[in-house]
Amino acid sequence: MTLGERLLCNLTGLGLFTAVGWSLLGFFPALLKRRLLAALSFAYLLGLSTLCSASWAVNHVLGIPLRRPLFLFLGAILLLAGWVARRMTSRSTAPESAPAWSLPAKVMGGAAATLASIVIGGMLLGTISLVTRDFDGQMTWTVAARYVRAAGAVDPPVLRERRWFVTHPRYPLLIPLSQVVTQEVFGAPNDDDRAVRWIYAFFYPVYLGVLFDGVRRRCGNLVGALVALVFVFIPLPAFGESGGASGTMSDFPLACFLGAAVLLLTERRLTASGSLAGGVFLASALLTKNEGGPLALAAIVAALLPRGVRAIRARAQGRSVGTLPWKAVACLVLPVLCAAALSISWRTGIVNRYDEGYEQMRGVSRIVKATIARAPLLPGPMWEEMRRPQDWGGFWLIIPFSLLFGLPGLLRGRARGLLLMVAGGVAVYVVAYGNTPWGEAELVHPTWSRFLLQLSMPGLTLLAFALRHCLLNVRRVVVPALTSWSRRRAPPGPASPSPAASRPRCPGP
Amino acid sequence: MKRPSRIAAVAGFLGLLAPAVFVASEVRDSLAASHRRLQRFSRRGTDLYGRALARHRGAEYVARLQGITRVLAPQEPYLILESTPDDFDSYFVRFDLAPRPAVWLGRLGESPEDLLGRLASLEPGIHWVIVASLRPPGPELLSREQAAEDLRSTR
Repeated sequence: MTLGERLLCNLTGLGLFTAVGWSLLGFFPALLKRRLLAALSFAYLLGLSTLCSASWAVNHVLGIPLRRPLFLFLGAILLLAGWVARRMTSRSTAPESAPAWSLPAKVMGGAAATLASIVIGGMLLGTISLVTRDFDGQMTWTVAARYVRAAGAVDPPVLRERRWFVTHPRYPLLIPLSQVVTQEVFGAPNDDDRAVRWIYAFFYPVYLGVLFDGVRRRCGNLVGALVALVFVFIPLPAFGESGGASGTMSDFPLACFLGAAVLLLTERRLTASGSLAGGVFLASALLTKNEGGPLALAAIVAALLPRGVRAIRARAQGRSVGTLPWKAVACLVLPVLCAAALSISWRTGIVNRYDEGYEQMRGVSRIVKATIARAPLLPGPMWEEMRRPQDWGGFWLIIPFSLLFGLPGLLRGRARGLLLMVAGGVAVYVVAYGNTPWGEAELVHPTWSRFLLQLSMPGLTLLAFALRHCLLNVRRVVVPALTSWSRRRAPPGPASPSPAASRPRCPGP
Repeated sequence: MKRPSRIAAVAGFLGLLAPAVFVASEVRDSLAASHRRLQRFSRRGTDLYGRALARHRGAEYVARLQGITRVLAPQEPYLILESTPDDFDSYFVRFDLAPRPAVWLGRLGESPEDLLGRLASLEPGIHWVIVASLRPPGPELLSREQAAEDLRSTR
């Protein structure tokens, strides 16, 4: 394909998913109210997730071939449904008010936006010039997309039948399907993957949009911009081909789906609309990677457990507030259950082979014993991975100081759900390391950095809480000191600022 | 609101310093990485797929691959034989030949008797064997008979 054709094909995919998602925002007033950047980011995730999972379900259940007419038909249906929902909700949905941008926040935001644009530009140009080079992308993901597209089915014989040499045939297909949708709608040939690489690369600005929105709502614009700036300079997400947005692996899309869900579900109020969006993103995580299932479960626990505990405490103290919003809980769980049913039904038709076979893990005591036996072997190799400059730069050597100095900020009520999510995610990985057929800690090297990336959005939001705590402490000392200094230096005059006007203000919504 | 102690303020300052140090230490590398991609795009962005693949795998590999795809129909199956005892060249060759389905024959390091036994019994309807290799000159296409002959000669 020529450069122009590749550009057009990539833009077709991006445009299709964003348009479908933008329309579907009508079903999610909680997302529709967000700022443009955040709304566009959620739209991309929503469009890709719904169009691809609907295609998966329709093909698997009804056997309708995965060809252009099906994708266009489903796209049109989703666009129409979203349009109708928007017509019904537009009058009741006013855009949310946002905290004002202070001068430091404007400077930090400007720096983050400029540098992120340079990094994103470099990444997009790089991905459209280079063929697929990452190991897992060639071994599993993109090759699965080629089999699926050739057969026009999510369960072609080459995946289902034992005789064919296919590694990890049961790996979830959501992201390979996004390639198939794009190639089919554009009419691109099967071999040149550069025509669909922006589907993966676009998750990077989407991640930034969702992260900034989530942090801004919790900790204010300045901290939001600072955390976004830190993320931009971690090498792995932008330029790492093994797991980052420059490759064709499903780890970074999973990080986006999971992160978006967790940030929505750990907001102060759990609304039905936010829960439904969170549930759809968790369902997408489940359909994106094997570990998406256990991570979705951990996210549900992280969202509901602190609220449940609060409700029980409130009841014990005789307060009337504090029941769980059951409608919101149902909206959260239902999409995940539907995705789990689709995944199980699809998997049962496929003979598993050339795979670690985690599904065969049986017996809680055996799993726990194996995990405990291997756990002491893991920290060393994990730290080796975190010190790799090509993946993390100096992130793990420098940034933990912020977490340490801002520790009280992490122990606040609003951060508890995020802490639970990170702890639950790490527990999932440690159990996998403990029970893998790979020897001792061998699996750590190819996977640990990718796992950290999957949990990075809740992790960076925790960093935001720590930075907010640091910022408040500095402000409360520096601002009064500066004010009194300026008062001493100012010539005596009639107009002096009132104490209320000079009081330092906390950042935050 | 209670004013924090000076120690807390210093800790806060250090906590804010850490991201600044991180950003300062990474900015050069990140911008250089972006610049490298821009340069690569300006030099190679217009490459057609064969040329782009040749930059990655080598010209001889791509020539061999194109020879194979001229013989093998777009969805014709083949038997795949790994050329190395430990590596996974077969993954990459399989990727380049997809969606043609592959049947695993074995590794060249295995005993020829075992490989010959499998070659005789596996999927009689498949006519071709591909010896997967990323090293020059790349993968090799053999008929079943040729592959059997080659294996017998290595006994």
